[in-house]
Amino acid sequence: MTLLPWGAATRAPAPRRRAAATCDEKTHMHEFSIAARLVEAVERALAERSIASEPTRVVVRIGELSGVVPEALELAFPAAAHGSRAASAALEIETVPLMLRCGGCGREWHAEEPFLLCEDCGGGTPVAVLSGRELDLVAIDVEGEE
Amino acid sequence: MSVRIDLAQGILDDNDLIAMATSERLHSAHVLCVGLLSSPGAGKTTLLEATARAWSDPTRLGVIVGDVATEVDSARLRACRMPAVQINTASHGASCHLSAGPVAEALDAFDLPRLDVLFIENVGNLVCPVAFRLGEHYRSVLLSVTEGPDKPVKYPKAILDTDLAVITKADLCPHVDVPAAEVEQNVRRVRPDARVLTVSARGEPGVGAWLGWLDEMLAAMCCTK
Repeated sequence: MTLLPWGAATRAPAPRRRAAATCDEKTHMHEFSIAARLVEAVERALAERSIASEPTRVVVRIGELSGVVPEALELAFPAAAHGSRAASAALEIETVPLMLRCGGCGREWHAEEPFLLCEDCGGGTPVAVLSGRELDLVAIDVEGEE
Repeated sequence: MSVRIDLAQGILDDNDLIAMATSERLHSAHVLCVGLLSSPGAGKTTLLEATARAWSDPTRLGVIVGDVATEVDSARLRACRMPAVQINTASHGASCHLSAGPVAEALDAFDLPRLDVLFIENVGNLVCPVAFRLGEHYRSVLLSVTEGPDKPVKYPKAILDTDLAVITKADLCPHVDVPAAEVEQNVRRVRPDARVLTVSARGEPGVGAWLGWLDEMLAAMCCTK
């Protein structure tokens, strides 16, 4: 997948916080389990490619309709990565806007709410989600590997 | 020097692969798998109890039920003669939702060839469970009228990523001054083509619409044994 032309914002890596205390496995925040899956995926990608050095950066793409709050994922990631091969990696989050398109009039818009309703056409037309569902591990950066 | 390695994979690919395998395993055993999502206390277990009472043989209805703690729900469903497996999510690393791995493991506890329907009753939560596919063939979301009319627009992803909205506790509409039609209208604000049913497990209009939907889905999947 490529970055969307309407300007998916790139977030700077979050400053490290003492997240372990607030982000344990009992927290009612599914971003922690997303972060745990992410760390597993990173470790497996390294193992599958026989990469010996540790990643310095993990790049993910989070759509506005993914149900994941980027700030919560930033908070959860260091705790999930603690003790893993991703422990010293920075997390970079690209957010992807929720874009909808009306099948009737062809209008495309950045929706604040995921309501599949074209206000111009009044609800009788099918509305498609063009982007916003992304929950992707895009890339990792490693030092000095080919 | 730093080198970028492009991966381009879904963060939940592993979960989704297990969910797909569960879905296929149940399909080949001719078991319809229906997920139930809702906020806490919307009536998931009560709807399943009513379903068991109406089914000709409730031992043909299995249920996997997720809660943070206790066996309260599975005990209620077993009392209705439904084979039930409780998953306490606090012991699986994330307490706010079920995920595909523990659900796949729970399948082994059932005599699948005997089942008509396997229900997966998720942890009461309209946010976290939505992203995690479990292997359901259809996902339903329950919206009780006692929660007020606006949950569908406040939790739109729960409406968008499910196949059926079930308005529950409709017998209480006059007492809480929430018409079921208003809840339905809010579901349709999110998704104009949504399938919406209105039920009450304790009074009028009963759960006939839900049972009819199950029959329809069983017929569509050729699950009838």
